[in-house]
Amino acid sequence: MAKTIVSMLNVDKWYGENHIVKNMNLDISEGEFLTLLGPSGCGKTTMLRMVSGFEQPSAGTIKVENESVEKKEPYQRNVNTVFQNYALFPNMNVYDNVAYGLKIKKVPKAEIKKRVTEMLKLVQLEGFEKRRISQMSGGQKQRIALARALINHPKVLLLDEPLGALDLKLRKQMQIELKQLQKRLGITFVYVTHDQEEALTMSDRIAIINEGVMEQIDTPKNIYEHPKTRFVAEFIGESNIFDTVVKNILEDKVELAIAEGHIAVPRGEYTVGEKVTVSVRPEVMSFSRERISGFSVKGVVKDIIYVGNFVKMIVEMSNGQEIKITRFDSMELSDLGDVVYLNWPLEKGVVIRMEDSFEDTV
Amino acid sequence: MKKKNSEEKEKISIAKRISQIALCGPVTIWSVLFIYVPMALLLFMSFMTKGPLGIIKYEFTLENYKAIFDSVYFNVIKESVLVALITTVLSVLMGYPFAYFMAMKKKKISGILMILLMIPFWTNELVIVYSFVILLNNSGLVNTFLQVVGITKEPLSMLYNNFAVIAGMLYMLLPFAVLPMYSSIEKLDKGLLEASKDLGAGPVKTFFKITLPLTAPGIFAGVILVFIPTIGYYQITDMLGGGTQMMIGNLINNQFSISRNWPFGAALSMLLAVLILVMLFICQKIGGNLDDLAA
Ligand SMILES: Nc1ncnc2c1ncn2[C@@H]1O[C@H](COP(=O)(O)OP(=O)(O)OP(=O)(O)O)[C@@H](O)[C@H]1O
Ligand SMILES: [Mg+2]
Repeated sequence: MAKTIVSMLNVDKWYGENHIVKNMNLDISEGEFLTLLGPSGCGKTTMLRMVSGFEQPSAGTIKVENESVEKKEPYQRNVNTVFQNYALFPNMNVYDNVAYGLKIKKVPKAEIKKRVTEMLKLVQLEGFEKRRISQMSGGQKQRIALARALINHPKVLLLDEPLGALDLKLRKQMQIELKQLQKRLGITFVYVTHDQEEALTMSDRIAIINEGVMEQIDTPKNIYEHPKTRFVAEFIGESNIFDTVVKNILEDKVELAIAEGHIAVPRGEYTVGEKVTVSVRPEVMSFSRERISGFSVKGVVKDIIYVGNFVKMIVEMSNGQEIKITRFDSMELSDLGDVVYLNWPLEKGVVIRMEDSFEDTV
Repeated sequence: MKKKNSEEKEKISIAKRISQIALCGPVTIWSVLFIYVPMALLLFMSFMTKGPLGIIKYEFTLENYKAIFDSVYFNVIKESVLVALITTVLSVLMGYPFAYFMAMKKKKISGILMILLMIPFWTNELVIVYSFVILLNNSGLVNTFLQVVGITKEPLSMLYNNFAVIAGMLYMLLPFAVLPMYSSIEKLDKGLLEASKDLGAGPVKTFFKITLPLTAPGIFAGVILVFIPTIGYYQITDMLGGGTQMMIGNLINNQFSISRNWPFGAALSMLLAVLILVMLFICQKIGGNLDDLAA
């Protein structure tokens, strides 16, 4: 296990009456690409600002390199930020923007020149030294902001939705570039986004935040395949969620009652009458014309939607809940109005127990 | 069909032109009648000869402009420029911190400060000048206080000199310096200050490298708004300078009212206009390329 470079210990943040960050515990390892993912207003920016020093936690400790940073001003912390709106200095050209941090540290001129040139090469902006900021495009500004931060060799780079302002194509391209850059430089990235796809493709680990609470922190694969809370299951990718009550404990499986009918999960430690939530991804859902043992989920095909590279079928259950099933080919789907029975391989149903949402997820 | 279209277009363009004339006409007429025509008259007059008893003789001469360089007048001009410059510099030095403070406060507080700042505008100029006299004279409040506390033994002569003139002008013109500076500081993207700190610059470096350059347009606007009235002001100079201090404004006033030497007064007016233009030019030169930064 790599050594921890940033840690939050029981951090709380209040703005007046509003509890924005709630008892946050988070360890970030050296060299990792960690993404803070959550809906708008959940406190991601606030968390970054506490690490960079622009906000003070109301309670708890933040450590960078095992040292509490409580008493350190932003300019004394070995942390740099790529701001959401870039915050490039309009009174300086590209070169001076990138050189800013080094000039402040009184690095000799010749070395500044060498490093700025290197840095501009790294972000593919050679030859733009003399340009004004107002003459640069969104993607170029984003790279300048990145270069301006990276040139200081920070231990940790905080990026607050750095690709938010870019169009989809440029965004995808920059995602790859950023990830490669991070790997090459070995700098710890703490990356904020509310785009789940971006988080899944770029991160080593994702921390899912909801209303100031960390719901789950894990690798993209684990987050996707084993969401620990209902919120995570619904926020990352698409999920079909079943609220159930344990009905029968059989030899090879456990039967769970839903509104009308029942579903099944592999054996585990359940007690009859216990409330259990099960999440099933649309792509692992199957359907058949006849009832399959263990499952009794009946519905009517209500809609078939083409979503580019896959097709989505919506099945409405008798209680009105809509179940999504996806396939790459519409041939594998049923026709509108058909009555179908839903099922899935037992082990693909992810069980979210109520107490899990309160469990310490670190 | 086509014809109709073009007719319609013509109609629109006529309507457009009429509205343009309606919008800009009054101002244009006003400035031509009351600014450009008088200026042209002054320019013309400044090349004429002074006749007896204040009559203007319509003979071309350069004497009026030569007289400006007469040491008596030249000193007045030098002094005026100096007083105006000092007032301008002081108003920026005093006004900037105030504007900064105001811009960083919540809207409610800055609103109150703004009203306080405007008080000189609500008060009659004479009242202000007389209160300065009461405050600053030899047995006035300030001197009494200084002597009672024991800082000075003799009363300091604070009235009827440049000190009083500058103090008075500062009081009158400080709002003109503060307002444009306030607006440019308020517009400044505070995220840039955070970015600077994030990159390792402390508050002082951040101020000189980011805040000051980006609010320079406001400073230059303040400089222009203070310098122009100061160099021409004569009421304050008259009353607080007690007639001992002459400024260009007084000199011009005297030429037109007492000496009745209108051509010389006109020449001095032209000089004043030139001084102001020079100042505008300097500000534009330094500040011009900063203009696009404020946005
Ligand atoms: N200075 C502040 N004063 C009061 N409330 C604030 C302040 N800054 C943020 N908040 C509140 O804290 C909450 C979290 O804000 P934050 O900016 O951290 O959200 P976020 O997760 O970054 O959202 P987004 O994805 O929209 O950027 C919001 O409800 C916001 O209104
Ligand atoms: Mg944010």
